[in-house]
Formats: sequence, C-alpha cells, structure tokens
Amino acid sequence: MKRFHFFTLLFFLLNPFLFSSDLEKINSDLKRLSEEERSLFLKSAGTLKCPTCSTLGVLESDTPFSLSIREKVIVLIKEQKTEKEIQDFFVDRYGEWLLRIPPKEGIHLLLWGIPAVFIFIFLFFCFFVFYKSKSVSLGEIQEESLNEMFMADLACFKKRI
Amino acid sequence: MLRELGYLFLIFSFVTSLYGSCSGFIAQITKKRLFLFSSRVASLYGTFFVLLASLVLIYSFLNSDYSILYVYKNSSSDLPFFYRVSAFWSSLEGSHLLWTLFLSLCTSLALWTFSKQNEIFLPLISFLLQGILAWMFFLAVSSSSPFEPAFPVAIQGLGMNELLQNPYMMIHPPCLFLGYTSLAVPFAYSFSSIWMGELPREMLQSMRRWSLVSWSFLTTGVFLGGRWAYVELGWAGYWAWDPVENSSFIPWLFVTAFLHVLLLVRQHGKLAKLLFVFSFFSFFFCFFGTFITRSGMISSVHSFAQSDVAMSYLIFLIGLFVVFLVTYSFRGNKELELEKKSLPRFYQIDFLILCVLLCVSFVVIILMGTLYPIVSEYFTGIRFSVQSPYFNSFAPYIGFSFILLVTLGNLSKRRSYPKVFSKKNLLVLQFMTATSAFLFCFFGGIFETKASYLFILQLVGVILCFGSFFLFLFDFFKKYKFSKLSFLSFFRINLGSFGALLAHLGVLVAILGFLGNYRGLSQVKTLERFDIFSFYGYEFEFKGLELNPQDNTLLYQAVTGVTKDDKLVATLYPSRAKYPTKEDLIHEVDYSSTFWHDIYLTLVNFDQKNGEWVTIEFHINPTVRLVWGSLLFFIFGAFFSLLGLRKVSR
Repeated sequence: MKRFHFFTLLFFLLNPFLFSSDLEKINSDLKRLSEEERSLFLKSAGTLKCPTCSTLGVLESDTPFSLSIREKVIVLIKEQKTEKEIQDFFVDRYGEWLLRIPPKEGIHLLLWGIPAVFIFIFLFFCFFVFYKSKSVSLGEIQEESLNEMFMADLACFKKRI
Repeated sequence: MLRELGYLFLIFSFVTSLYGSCSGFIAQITKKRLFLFSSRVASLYGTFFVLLASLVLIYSFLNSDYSILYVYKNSSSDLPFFYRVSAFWSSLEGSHLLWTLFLSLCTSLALWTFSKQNEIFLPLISFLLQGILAWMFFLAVSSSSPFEPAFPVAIQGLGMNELLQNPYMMIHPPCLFLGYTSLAVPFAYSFSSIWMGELPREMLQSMRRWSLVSWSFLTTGVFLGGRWAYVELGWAGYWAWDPVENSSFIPWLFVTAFLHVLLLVRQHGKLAKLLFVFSFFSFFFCFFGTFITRSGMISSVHSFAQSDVAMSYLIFLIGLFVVFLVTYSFRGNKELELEKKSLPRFYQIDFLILCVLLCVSFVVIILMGTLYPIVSEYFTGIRFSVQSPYFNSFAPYIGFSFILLVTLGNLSKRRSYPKVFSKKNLLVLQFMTATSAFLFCFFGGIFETKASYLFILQLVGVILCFGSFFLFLFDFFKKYKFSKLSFLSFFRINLGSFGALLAHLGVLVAILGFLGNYRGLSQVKTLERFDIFSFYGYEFEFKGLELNPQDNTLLYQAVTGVTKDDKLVATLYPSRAKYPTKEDLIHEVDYSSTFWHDIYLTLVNFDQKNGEWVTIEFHINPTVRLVWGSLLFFIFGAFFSLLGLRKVSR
C-alpha cells in the first residue's frame, strides 16, 4: 500500500503533461486579484497540504490535486469568503488532516505543550544564569584578579595543556 | 556461485563478531589479556569477511548478475559505471550492508588504535561494539539479506530509482553512514567508562576525536543530502523537514551538544555523566530514525524501500534503551573520577550549558513534529502528519537564540577583560557589524525578495550573525596579539581553537544563508522560440529545444540564454530526462550561481511535436551559495580541530 502511495506521488510529481496549462491559468488568475485578495490566497492556501505529497504544501507542489485546490481557493476568494470560511470548506470536504498544522485545540495542544515545557525549562535556566551574573558586579572583582584571569586564559592559548 | 559465497562471508562475519563480543565479555570478567586479544582479532576477521561480501556485491552489480534479487531490483545494464557502484546502497538491504561494513571498520579501528590508558576499557568496548555488529550481521543474513536469489534469472534488471541517479547520491549515503557508525565508538567509550567508574583524560581525547570525525561526516552527509534535493527534485529548496531529514538532523544536534559537553568535562571536570547520556542518544537516534522511516510508520519521500526488518529494529531499540536505563540506574550514582583543573571560571560555561539545553529543546520539537502522526493516530484515530510550517514556527527563534547565546557568551568575557573589550573596540565592532549587515541585505537582495518570515526578524538575525561573526574573529585576534607569539607558533599551538573558530563561523555563515530567504522569487512563463522574458534584472531568451542523449538518458533541453545589461551571463539547459526504465519524464534542473543568488530554471512543460514553445519556472534564490559555502568552514574546522588533538596527544 505504502509503495503504491509512493509511486502515485511520484507519478503526479513528475508527469508534466497533466497540469502545466492549469498552472499558468492559476498564475494569470492570481494576477487579476487585488493585492488584498492575493495575500488572502497565500494565507489560506498556505495552510493546506498537498494531498498526494508527503511534505509539501499546496503552494509548493504542482500536482493536479494541489492545482485544483489552488483553483478552488481562488474561486472561493472571488465569492468573498473569509480565511476561516475557506479553511472550513476544505476541512468539511477532506477532513482535518488536510491542514499543514493541526488546529490548536484538544489533543493537538500536545504538539505545542511538550516543546513549551522544554522551552520553559530553558528560559528558567536563562533567567538563573542572567540573575547570577548580574549579582556579581565588576566592582567586587579586583582589577588584579581580573588580570590574573585574563593571563590564565591567555596561558592556555600560549601553551595548550 | 558468487551469491552463495557472499552469503557465506556474511555468515562468517556474524559468527566472528558474536565470538568477539562473547570473548570481550569473558575478558572483562576474567581480566585475562588472551581473551581480549582474541576478541580484537575476531573484529579484524569480521571486517575482512564483510569487506569480501561487499566486494562480491559490487562485482555482481558491475557484471549485472541478475541471479541476485537485490541486483535485479536495483540495476540495469544501461546504467553508467559509477551508478552501478552506487546502486549498492540504493535500497534497504544494500544500505544495511554498507552500514554494517562501516560499523565493522570503526570497531576494528577503535580496538586496534587505542592509547595505553584506555586499555582497561577495551573488553567492554569490544563486547558492546561487536554485540551491536553481531545483531547487524544477523539481520544481514536473515530478514535483510542482499544475497537473496532471483528465479528465473532475468536478462535485464528493473533499474535504479531515477531520482537516485545523481552524483550527490554517490557520496551522501556513505557520508551519513560513516557519521552514524562512528557515533557508536564514543557511546561504547562512555558506556565502559560509566561501568568501570573511571574517566581518564586520555579517554576524553579519544571520545573527542571520534565524535569530531562523526560530526564532520554527519555534517557533510546532511549538506550533500540538501544539495541533492536542490538539484534533483526541482522545487528550488533544500530542506522540507521530511521525516528522514529530521532523523539525520537529530543525531547531528546530539553530537554537537556532546562535543560541547566534552569541553565542559575536559576543562572543568563537571557533568561527566552527561557524556553517557548524550553519546547514547546520538547513537540511539541514528537507529531510531532508520526504524521510523523504514518501518513505514511514518511515510516519507525517502522511503525508497520498506521491509519487514522493522520489527527487528524495534526489538533492538528497546534492548538498547533497556541497556541504557540499567547502566544509568546501577552505575549512574557512582561519582566519575576526573582530576579537576584549576582554570578560571568564566560565564561562558553557563552559556555553553544553555546552548546544550537549547539543542535538547530543539530535538524535542523536531521529534514531536516527526512522531506526531503516530501520537495523533493513538489519540484520535487519524494520522495527522505535521509539515514545515510547524517546524518553521520554532526554527527561526531557536536559531536566533543560538546566535544570541553565542554572542552574549563571547561578550561575557567583557567582565573578565575590561581592557580588551574597551569602549573603543566595541564601537569599532558595532560599526563593522552595521556596515556588513547593510551591505549583505543590499547585495543579497533581501530588500527585494518576498519575505517569508517577518522582515524585521530577518534583519535582526543578520545583525546578530555579523555581530557574533566579528566578535569571534576579534577574540581570536586579541589573544594572538596579547600572547606575543609569532603568528606561526600561535597558530600551531592553537590549531584546535582555530578549528573551533572556523566551525562556529560556519554556523553563522549557514544561518546567514538561511536568512537570505532561500525560496526567493519565482515565476512561471510560457515562451515561444526567441521570446524574451525579463525577470529580476535578467533577460531570458528561449533559443530552441534540443534533444541530447547523455549516459543512459535522453534529455529534452530548453536552451535558454540569460543576459544582463546586454551581456551574456549564462546559457542554461533546464531539461526533462527520459530514462529507459521509466515512462515519465524526470526533472533535470539547471542553474547558474553568482555570489549573491542562484538563477534556477525548471522545465515545466514543452511542445513535444515541434519544440516551438516551453513553459519554464524561473527562480531567483538569494544567498544559497552561503549555505553550501558554510560546509567548507565546517570541514576545515573539524580538520584543524582534529590536527590540534593530535598535537595534544603527542
């Protein structure tokens, strides 16, 4: 099954004759949109996955499926739909998995929660280090001892131990 | 006949490594040198046999011996000579054999080039390394054998995957595998050290040597992989946070952290037990990455072959983790002996620890994103693969934090050396930073190309990078000046520090390259013959379609002249290649590099009847060259660091 999936993906990725005219049509359609509509297009289409690729988004992939999604996004934008409505349209039709990042709710919060714990620990240590370094002011260190420290560091460079 | 011989060699290797592991264990218990010697000799025999088996496989590829299933599946007689050799590692069984060969070579090297003080650790090292090898050989003769027979014997092979027929694919996998396998040695060292409860300085040197070698191979492997994606896949990018890319990046992050922990331990005698933890995880994640991608648990573009080998990998990984837990819980409480040096205490140490912590946080983020399909399937029943926007929402900030920590770490010396970091010197540094950052943004086209992240963020990153860059250079230069040594002797004594300097500058150059916004600008355009298209100050003229045979392919090339201010810059040939083994046409991109950006063309479509029109995707990719250039910094950095180590051990 996986193998089949991979070769289907390759087929769509590499077959040039299915989609080139669509690609140009989409590009010319895009040119006709206003600046605001174009940025809405980039925003909305940027959140969607290419259904037949493993790591690319709709905007990065030129497979027929991605191109048809791009076309549909343009149609929806012309119908004055908002970003949320466009996203909901695709989620209703294909399911949540089409989104490149899952919605930040329910169990999907794990995806942010676990890294957040580590980043929090990191920030805690940062605070600790800066607080400690602040508490030792230069005034407490004698000029001579500073020179000693520098000379010791230099000694390492003069003669590797 | 050859097939059976190859298989027999693998069985011999399995037996010798199993024996070597057992005799290493007996040597550890009985403390008899004879057992240790026989264990070491066994490793040599193992290497010799697996080398023979590999030669048999290469010979079969060169002679198109399709009685071997692996050769039949991955080669065909139209393949050029070099690709017939690289077909060896183009699929799972061959990659496994190559990995095993490299691990065997590393094991023999580790067991025969040790220093006197490390001799007491050798039995355990030999036991562990040859134990892992025995398991690898077991797989090679059971579920992942490259010498399976094909019957009836075909007269033509199925051919090698077309995407792998690229010069970078000849070097990228061996480099990565060398990096992975050489990570086993520091792990074995730290494992034996924690069991014996001793940590001599000599062992730290050996660990550093091995991990530096591993780091440089991993770096080269990862970069060449990116380069392959850039020139072969035709989407004008080099990193997509694909599961396989991630699983090669995680060991790299761990080994980088390990190198810095080594520095802490060597200079301050602190955190010695962390060495075990980091070396274990860097080694563990090499196998873990292979497991998740080859098992089909997570689909990836790189899953060129998936097999039943997954279950064996899972058992091995669990076993490895149990070994880690048992070792740490039984021996982790024992204080490792290490003579402490009375070096002055700098704040840099704190920054070093923070950097290591940041590395770990980064690993957690990448791991979470990569494994999320499995996690989400467990909780919701839906496989939810997470793509680059997730990783990209963290990566720039992590990168900035790295630069910030490095810069602050260097600046923290200011407290210790107020005279060196005088106000005047700092002003000069600030001036140089501001000027270079402006020039970089101006010439790098950062103001002109579309910004995928916030422009301000990009600008701050560039300024931080240059600030840190000059601080590094300034620090090194000041030390040279104050040491009052001649340049040559200072350089000779500080080869290691010079290597470290180069590697750190390399990181900054690479980050500058990433910041240049690699996706840059792109446009799709259909051109009739002799049509001219202007884009980013260049004029592209389609001169006609040519049909050229090259090696085993037939290329449809769109000859495109690129001019700027009426001067010819380059003639590019974006193409589609027809391979004899494939119906579809494969992308063959063409590009021309200036220092500041790449002009990168992909042939999207063309008139197959008359060759009168073509559709081309034009890309301008700023500062990509810096990314590739940083590899030189890394390689030379590692080289000088290794030279420096040689000097120390003398």
